[in-house]
Amino acid sequence: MIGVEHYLTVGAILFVLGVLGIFLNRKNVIVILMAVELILLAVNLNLVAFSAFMQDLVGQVFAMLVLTVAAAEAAIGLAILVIYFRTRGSIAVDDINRMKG
Amino acid sequence: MSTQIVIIVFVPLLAALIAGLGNRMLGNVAAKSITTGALLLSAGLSWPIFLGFLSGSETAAVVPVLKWVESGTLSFDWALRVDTLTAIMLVVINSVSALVHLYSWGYMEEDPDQPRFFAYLSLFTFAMLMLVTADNLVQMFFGWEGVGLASYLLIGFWFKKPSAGKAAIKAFVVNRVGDLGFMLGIFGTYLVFQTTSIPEILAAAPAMSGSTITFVGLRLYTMDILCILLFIGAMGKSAQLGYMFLAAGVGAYGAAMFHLFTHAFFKALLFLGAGSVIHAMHHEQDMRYYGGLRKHIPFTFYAMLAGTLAITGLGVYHLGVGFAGFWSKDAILEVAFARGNGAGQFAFWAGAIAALLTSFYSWRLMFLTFWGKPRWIESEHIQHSVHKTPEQAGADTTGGYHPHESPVSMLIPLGLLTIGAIAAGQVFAPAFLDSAAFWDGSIFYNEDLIHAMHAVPYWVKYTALIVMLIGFAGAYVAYIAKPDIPAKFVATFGALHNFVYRKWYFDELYDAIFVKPAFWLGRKFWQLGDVGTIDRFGPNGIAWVVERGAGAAKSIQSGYVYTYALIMLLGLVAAVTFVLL
Repeated sequence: MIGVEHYLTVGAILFVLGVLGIFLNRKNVIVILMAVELILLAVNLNLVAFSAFMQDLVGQVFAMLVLTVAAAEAAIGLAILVIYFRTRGSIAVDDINRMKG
Repeated sequence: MSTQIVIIVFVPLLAALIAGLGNRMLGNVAAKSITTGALLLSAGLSWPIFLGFLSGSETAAVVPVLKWVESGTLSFDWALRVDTLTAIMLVVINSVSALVHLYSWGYMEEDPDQPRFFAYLSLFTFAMLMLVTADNLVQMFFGWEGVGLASYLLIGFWFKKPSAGKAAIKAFVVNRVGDLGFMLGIFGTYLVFQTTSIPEILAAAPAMSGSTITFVGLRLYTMDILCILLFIGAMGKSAQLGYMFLAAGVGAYGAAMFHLFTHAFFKALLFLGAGSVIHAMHHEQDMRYYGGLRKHIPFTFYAMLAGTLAITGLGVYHLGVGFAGFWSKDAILEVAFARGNGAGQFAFWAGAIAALLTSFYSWRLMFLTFWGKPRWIESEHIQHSVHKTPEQAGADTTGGYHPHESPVSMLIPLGLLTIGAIAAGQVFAPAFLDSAAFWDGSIFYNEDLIHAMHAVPYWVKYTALIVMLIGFAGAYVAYIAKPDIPAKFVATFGALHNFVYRKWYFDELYDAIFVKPAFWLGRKFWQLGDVGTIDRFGPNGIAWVVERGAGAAKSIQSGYVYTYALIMLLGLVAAVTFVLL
């Protein structure tokens, strides 16, 4: 029998993978964007799992909202990436350090 | 009298504060005028009090100043006690100090730090006055410490010279050794008498054993004597101190005080006269380079001659005339003889030998300085002054140098002290030696001893004069008639000469026992306590933490997005954890 805890475990694994993807990845900004998506999906999985477990639709509605926001975020992120590549000629993570004071 | 005594004691302090804090803002003349004026005022007010005690119109009094400590059975206040003993010390201290102030106008003329020097002098005087007017042992200790502080400051006055700084620290450390004894004395006295008040101790003392009386009495004297000696001698050593102890030791406290009183005049005269000679000889201090100064600085010569005659105790018993030292020194020798017991006999002969030595070295000083041929050109100071080497000067051993008599401000003190050195013994001997009423219970006066003193055989009364003449003759032979004797003596007894020349290696001994360990202890405190603990965990430690913290914070500011994201995540986790727990 697959219970809510299994869903939560998968969600946690996905979340940690996403976090590690952000911090351990030193090469490609696109991978960072993908990792962010992974985190959002992990959270979505949690929302849906709890929604089914607690017999409450609010969770699934919220998951739809998150998917929409994720799509918008991916669009904006890719747009920034394209602009950045045009100005700097590189999207390697090591080159993106203009925030250094 | 109560108003006067407060003025006498505190005006020098006020002057010291004004001159010391005003310093260069005040200027040389203003600072010197204020301090000298204050001391002249104090001296001027002291003499009527002293003469009042002499004529019997004044009686002992205690003038309260301030409350101090009230703790259980221990209680003492700031109070000024004036009795015969104090009155004597007041005139001695204030007169000598006022003259020294005046003298310093001339002597310190070229110094850039005159206000500071005069402030130290006045502070020294205040500390001594506090010491001799003390009503209780703790206040006396305060005065004693003040004297120690002022002598430290004066010795280190030219603090830019390393030797002066070193000497000052040495004097300070050695003084602390004395402090320990003093403090133990105060504790012990409090333990025995349950009070620190001097009159109460003296009142309770007769109930104690005889040795206790002597002990307390002697200590009171020792302090007074040491204080005046420190002042006049500025750490100079003095054979005269031995006489005062000798007299106090055989129970003739009056004679001891009398010698202190007369000694103040002639010893101060000799010190100031020596300063005048040094001034004349371009700061050369070694009298082996003097000679033949008699005609060049006649005023100083006659003043020094009077001082020498006074310290060697010239006087004739049957004529009833003599210099100041004759009256007091003779009295001490006679009283020691009159004591009659073995200790008294020993003291008498020791005193006679000391008088012989005093006479010899005093006349040696006079002969080397004022008689004979000039030996000035051998002195480096004179060589600098005349820009010649001994070879260039040839047969002219003066090197063409012209000694100059000191300015008037230095000659006036010399003149006044000369009068004191000649007449002080003659005038005051009856009161100090023969009048129990004069002392009025301020010291223990032994009437029988004084009667016995006057009844000693004539040969005892002439001992001082005889040994003085022998010393004179010895010095004359060694330094005028046959000047090669000293050199032969040194050649024969080289080791002995060295031993004495190095002051019996006393300085080395003190250095090894007290000064070195004090330095070692100080260094340990400095390295372990100050640097190792306070600095390490205090200022340096805080700076270290800030520096390291800033370094760590700097490395976080990498400019990479993921670093900031990590910080945000960690912060979020911390916040959530905090909220959930």
